[in-house]
Amino acid sequence: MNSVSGITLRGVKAVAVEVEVEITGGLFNISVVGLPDAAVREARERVRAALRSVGIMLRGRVAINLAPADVPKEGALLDLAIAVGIACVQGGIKVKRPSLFIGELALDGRLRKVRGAVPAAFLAREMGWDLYLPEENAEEVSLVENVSAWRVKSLGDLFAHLKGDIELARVEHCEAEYDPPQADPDFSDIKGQAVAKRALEIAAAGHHNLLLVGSPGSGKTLLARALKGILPPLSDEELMEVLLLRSTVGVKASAIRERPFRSVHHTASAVAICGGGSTLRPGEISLASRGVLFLDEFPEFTRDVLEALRQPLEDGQITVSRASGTVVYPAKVLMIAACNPCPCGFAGDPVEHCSCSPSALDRYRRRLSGPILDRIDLHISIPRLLPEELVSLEGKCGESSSVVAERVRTAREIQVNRWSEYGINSNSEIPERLLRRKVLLKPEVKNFLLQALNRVRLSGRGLSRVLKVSRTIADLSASDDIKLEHVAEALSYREGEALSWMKI
Amino acid sequence: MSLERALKRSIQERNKTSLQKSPRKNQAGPYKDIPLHLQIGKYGEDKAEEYIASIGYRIIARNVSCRYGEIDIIASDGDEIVFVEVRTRSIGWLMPAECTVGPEKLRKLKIAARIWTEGRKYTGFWRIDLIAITLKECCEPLIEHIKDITEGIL
Repeated sequence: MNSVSGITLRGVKAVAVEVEVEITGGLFNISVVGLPDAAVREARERVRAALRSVGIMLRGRVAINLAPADVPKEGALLDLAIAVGIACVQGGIKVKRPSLFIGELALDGRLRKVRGAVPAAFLAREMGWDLYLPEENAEEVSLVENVSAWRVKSLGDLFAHLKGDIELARVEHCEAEYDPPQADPDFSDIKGQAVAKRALEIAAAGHHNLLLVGSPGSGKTLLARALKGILPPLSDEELMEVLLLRSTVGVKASAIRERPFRSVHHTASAVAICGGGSTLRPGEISLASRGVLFLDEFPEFTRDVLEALRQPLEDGQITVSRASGTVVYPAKVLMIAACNPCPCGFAGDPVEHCSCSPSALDRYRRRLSGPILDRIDLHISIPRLLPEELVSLEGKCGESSSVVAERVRTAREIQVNRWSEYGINSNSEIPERLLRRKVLLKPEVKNFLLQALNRVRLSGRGLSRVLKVSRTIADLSASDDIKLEHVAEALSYREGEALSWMKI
Repeated sequence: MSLERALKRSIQERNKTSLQKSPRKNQAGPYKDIPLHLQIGKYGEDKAEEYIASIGYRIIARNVSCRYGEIDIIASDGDEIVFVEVRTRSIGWLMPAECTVGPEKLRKLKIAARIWTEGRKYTGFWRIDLIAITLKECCEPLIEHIKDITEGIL
């Protein structure tokens, strides 16, 4: 293999692209072959100007081959590899060790940041290659261990380094730190809503999906945002996954273990949520992986979007197939959906009257299909607060976020310890076979469950989700086995009053 | 074929043509009996040749024509052959000389240059330069040298 390579992205993976350059006599001409997209083909203008800036004048016929030839190459990050490849042939540069070069060139030879630096770092680590990357990408790559990476400011510096004139700075590995996110709003700032707060705690601890139903102004959005303050920190493995996805789309990745929180407006398209597009990019559900996907005004999303969520919510990953290829993106999200009980928002409200016509109600309810509701573990109704509760301005209400966050963290640690041998991080990911084997129930709990199942009709999936939530509740109370009260609580979130308005 | 052999062959050819033409030329003098605009062109080419020689290029041939047009000067710059198109503008023209070489002229120049290189089996580097000469009333003409005019056109 040639020692000069770049990368191109396939999903969240980097594919090594070998750059071969041949210069023959004739009139000046650059051609790029190997399925380049527009950005790669335009690289020749940038490369020519950048090489000129370091004193390498191109002449003759320059043929650039990007191998493997059948993989479509995309993005501007091949600029640097092409420039180094040409310089090896004409500029007297020698690359001794096999190396990956990524970076977009400016006309004056500076390097611009690119998306895909973290996948490149993984590839470099896997193959044992050196990695040369733009200064601006150094921060995200510094979180990846055991990579021999160099920060490059400009093409001139890189060539001087390769010639041995100067030594570039290495990217030093640094640990991601965790400073607890600023809870905004804090749990103690939210009045009342004890049930909802408890449900948020369970959702955060076990990574369960949550549906908040309530009339306008009852605090659904506020509660959903408060969840951010109690999420447990990302583990190393989870951090890498989040980093990888962020780097793939070019979102700035920072060195903190804060879980992603993506709030999506209801006008979002199915492609924006699930991923896709002509160049295959991850969607919001993948960007929110290992974190929270908040869908406010849930029924207002188009039907396509809602139904497209079904499969990823169940499998924890999403397979995007397009003409340009098939990629699998992770989609282990904690989905919080918030909605009103009816179009006017006041169905089931003790004071206000619902003014919706039966047909309007029917239409609204049909937007939330059974399958999607079946995948949401916790259904919570948010009641409107009484005037007395609202006016009581003084004092704090209930525990603060930091106290809850500590409990959540402990519960998550219990789960990680229990499931780590199976490669699972939270209760919501327990596969069916482990659920039957590992989640043991006492006889009286089994009896209770049987009775309950006769009354409320639960699907097979519904039952296993109830069991997973019970496991989380048990973990929150640091109990080794699932007790009756845990199952009862889990059941209440599922078949409680929150969805009573759904049944006509 | 190497540059040296390509050069040698063109020098032989030049000697041949100059032998045929020189008697008539000598009688008429360099700038006589031809229309003014051709005289200006000829003067410009002579100036360009002087200039090119002064910056260290070796002149290989002048006025090499083929069916796609004429190459004004062929010179060598190190290991690279340079085909020079000379444009001369006299006083009073609004459009600068370098703007008069359009895509069609470039296309023809490229073909003519390719015919020349291929005819001599020359496989090294070559390029097309433009020398724009603007005549002045009171002083020496202004000479502008634009290297590799096909570079930006990929």
